[in-house]
Amino acid sequence: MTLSRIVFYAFLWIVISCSPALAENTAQNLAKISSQLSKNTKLCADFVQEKSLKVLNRPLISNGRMISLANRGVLWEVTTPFPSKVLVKETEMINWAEDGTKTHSSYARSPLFSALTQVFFAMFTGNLDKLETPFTMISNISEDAWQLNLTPTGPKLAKVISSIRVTGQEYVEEITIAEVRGDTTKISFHNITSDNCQLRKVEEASFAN
Amino acid sequence: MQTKALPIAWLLIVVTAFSWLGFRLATAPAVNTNLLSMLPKSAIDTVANQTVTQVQKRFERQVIWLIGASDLATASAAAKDVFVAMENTGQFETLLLEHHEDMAHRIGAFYFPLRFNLLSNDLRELIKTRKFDEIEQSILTRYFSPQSVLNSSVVTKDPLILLPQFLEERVAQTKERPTIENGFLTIKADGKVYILLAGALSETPFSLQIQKQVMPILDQLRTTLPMKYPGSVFLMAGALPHAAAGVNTALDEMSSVGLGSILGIIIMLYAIFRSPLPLGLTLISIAVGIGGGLAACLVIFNQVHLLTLVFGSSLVGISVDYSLHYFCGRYRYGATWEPHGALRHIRAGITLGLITSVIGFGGLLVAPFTGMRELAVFSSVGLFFAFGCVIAWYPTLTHTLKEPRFPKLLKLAQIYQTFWRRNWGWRAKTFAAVFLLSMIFGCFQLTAQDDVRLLHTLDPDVLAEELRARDLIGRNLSSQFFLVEGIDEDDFLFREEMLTQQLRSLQTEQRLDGYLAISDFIPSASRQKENRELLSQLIEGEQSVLKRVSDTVGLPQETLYAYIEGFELSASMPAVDLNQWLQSPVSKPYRHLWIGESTRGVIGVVGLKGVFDLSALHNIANQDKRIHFRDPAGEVSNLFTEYRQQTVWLTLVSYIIVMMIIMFRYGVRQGVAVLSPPIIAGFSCFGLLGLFEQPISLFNVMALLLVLGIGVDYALFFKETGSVHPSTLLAIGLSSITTLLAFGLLAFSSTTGIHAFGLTVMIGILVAFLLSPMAGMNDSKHTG
Repeated sequence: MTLSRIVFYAFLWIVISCSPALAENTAQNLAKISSQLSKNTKLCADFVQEKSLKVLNRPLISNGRMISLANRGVLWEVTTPFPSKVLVKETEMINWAEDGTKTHSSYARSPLFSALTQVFFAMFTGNLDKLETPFTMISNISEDAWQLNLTPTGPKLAKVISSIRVTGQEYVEEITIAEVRGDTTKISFHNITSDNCQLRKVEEASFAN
Repeated sequence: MQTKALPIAWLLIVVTAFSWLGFRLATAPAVNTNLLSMLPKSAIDTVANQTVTQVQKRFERQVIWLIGASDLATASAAAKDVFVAMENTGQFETLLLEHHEDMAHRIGAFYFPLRFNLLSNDLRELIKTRKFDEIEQSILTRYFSPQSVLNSSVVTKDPLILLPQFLEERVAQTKERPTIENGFLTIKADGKVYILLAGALSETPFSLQIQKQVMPILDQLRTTLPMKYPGSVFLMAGALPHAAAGVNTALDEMSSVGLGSILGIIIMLYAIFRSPLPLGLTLISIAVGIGGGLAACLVIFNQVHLLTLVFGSSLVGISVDYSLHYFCGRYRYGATWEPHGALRHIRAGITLGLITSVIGFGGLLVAPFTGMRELAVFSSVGLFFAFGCVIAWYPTLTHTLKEPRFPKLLKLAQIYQTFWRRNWGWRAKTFAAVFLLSMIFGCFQLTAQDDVRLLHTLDPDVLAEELRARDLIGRNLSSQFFLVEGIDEDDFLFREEMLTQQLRSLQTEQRLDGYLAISDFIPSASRQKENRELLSQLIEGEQSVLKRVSDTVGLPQETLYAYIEGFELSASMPAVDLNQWLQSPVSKPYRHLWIGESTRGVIGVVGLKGVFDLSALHNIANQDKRIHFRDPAGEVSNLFTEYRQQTVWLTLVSYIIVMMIIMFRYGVRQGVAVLSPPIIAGFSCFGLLGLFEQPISLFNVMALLLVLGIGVDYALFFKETGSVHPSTLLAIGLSSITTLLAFGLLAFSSTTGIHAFGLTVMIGILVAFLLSPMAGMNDSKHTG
């Protein structure tokens, strides 16, 4: 047996014997993050989306407001530079055109967006265990902040997304999605409110669909 | 002598007919269960009609299941069970459960090379109206939206995001909800995951054999699935469950109507004659009548429709009349009774009765309505065979017939008859006048209802399940559709585009919910060329939309020029045509819209959803003679209207002939007396229906025909066999009881049309019987 073989087996042994500990560690961390995350039925935030496409000279930056209501969906309203509005529900997606006409569609068309939505729903409801099947999760916890790295397990998602990084404290503060092709999308949240969040009439109406 | 030759000759005829019938029934299918196939096919345009038939056959063979459970794994296991069970029946041409996960990839691979030739309808309109700012705005919105499908590769090859826009519009157009997950078409709704299984039967769902092979297994799955997979849901849609439910009802009704009247007749005959001879002979003549009618139908139409059998089973009620008259004569003569004399006595009456019945049914023969013609042949020939038995066999076989003991019924008949002989006071006359006037008033209150549902009463449970499934899938194509013809494939696409353009404007006016057309998925060559030209308006020039978008999002110059170069190079590429699309897997969900070659070129279908304005659609079809609008349900309803009106005229003509025969024989005064009971009976049926606000249809008119026929029979018997002895009234009374047994039971049918038929006959026969002594009224005054 060559030395390299021995090293290899030794390494393998370490990996195998350590992995339950690792898993346990992750499970503990997830529980900790879950407990840190505020579980609110209502969540509002301003968001900045920074989409960096490899082929474009500069990132595409948009601002807007996000409202999440448990069991009713997530409403994304882009205010600048080009207004748009979309309501994401568990089974479908509703888009509003500028003139107010809406189109319903099944939301599985964009794997990126559906993965994002999945992460979102899990984070907002504190059900991190729901992410365990579609992703391999590695967590990193410090005093008052945490970070989660998600790697897709399914081949369909793995073809598009290389990893998703989520950071936050009491709330999710930033989500970064790295695509296999080298494009990245970063969404950061500010002014996060839950109980104090007042829905405008238009927003109320949007959820009624 | 005639007395020897006739029975043997008749026996030979009957044996021949029955041998042929037995052979025919054993060798080939005889019963057609598709209720709608009874209806005539309008013969205006054969190519279009053939296609309609083809389209309908294709649609009716389709079956869809939705198997739901709380999670995908359970639902897919349950769906696989259904799939295997259905495959094992061997009755399916196709069964599709698992799908390619990479459909999205295939769609991309097919359409991507074609992207310079495709534009969404919305974008076409915007370019045509030169709303370039709006176009720029909408493209940029896509770039900056959180749900954007953009990535580097899309932006490089399609910086205006044209293809996603085109494909999204297609998806929105179909409005179907299933998405592929783990290789299954799934729908998520109310906390459950449903999996779609689709199949096409190898034969029509109206085939009894298919129903027998498939339905019991489905019923079994319905009970076993929830046990094996708790919380699972089983939904089924398609013509198959409806056909099976319809056949079951019809068969049940046929056997209960047939059985009910036979039982009634047996009990009655035995109670009155207390001898097996009259009973046996009557049953034989009924059987010979039905057999003869069936054989004649098979000879002429090579099939007999299930509904004809249902109506025909009530033939029992009329064919028994001839026998009843013969046997009731036994009361009249007591000890002097003699078979040949008895026959002589009733021969004129039953012969005239047969002739008028056949003339009455003969009217139906003129109608170009398969079902009615079958009914006419079945009834006329059936009656003739029953009549033949009485004439040919009864005298020879009834030498030993004893005088029946049952004077009580005779007494009743006597009492009723003397009631009619009394001089009528002013009270009775006023009552009669008021009654007649109110019946006539009722007739003016009549409304018509000619809906297709008359024939096709859908089982409410099956229907509810079907609607639930269609609702979940979002596949709610209406029964109306367009047929588009073309000289060749490209001409077809071109004409269809002209059509869909008009349909879209109906859509914006909310007169139509949606449509499904092939040309939306693969535009004609000229449309593809036009799209390129429109697209060039966005690409070319220093201030083009492409240039402005590129500047805003930061698309590098070299990428921009590479794209423009790609656009220019693609001009030399040949357009993708319909056949290439048909061969690609991307066309799979829509291939049923393509019919293919016809004798005039090629033909295809445009499906419609939510039709709110039929006349607008008819108008569109009138502009191009190669575009046909079809509304099968509406066409059937129109046919019902047309044939209801036609049957009214046929009935009138038939009965004018009958009237002339009767007037010729009895003179005007006595003729009126003979005709009054059936005519008043007819008025009463329709008068009562009108007063009770029951809408009438073809089936009530058919019933009227029967009421008149039977009513004339009763009056004729009364007139011919003498109104003095109560035996005639007894015979008429007995025969109206059998008729009521036969048709009265039809009134309980769940098929609206048959129910209407039964109810009308029930009222009419009752009135005709009660009034029948009227036929002898003038008589009695003369004879004293």
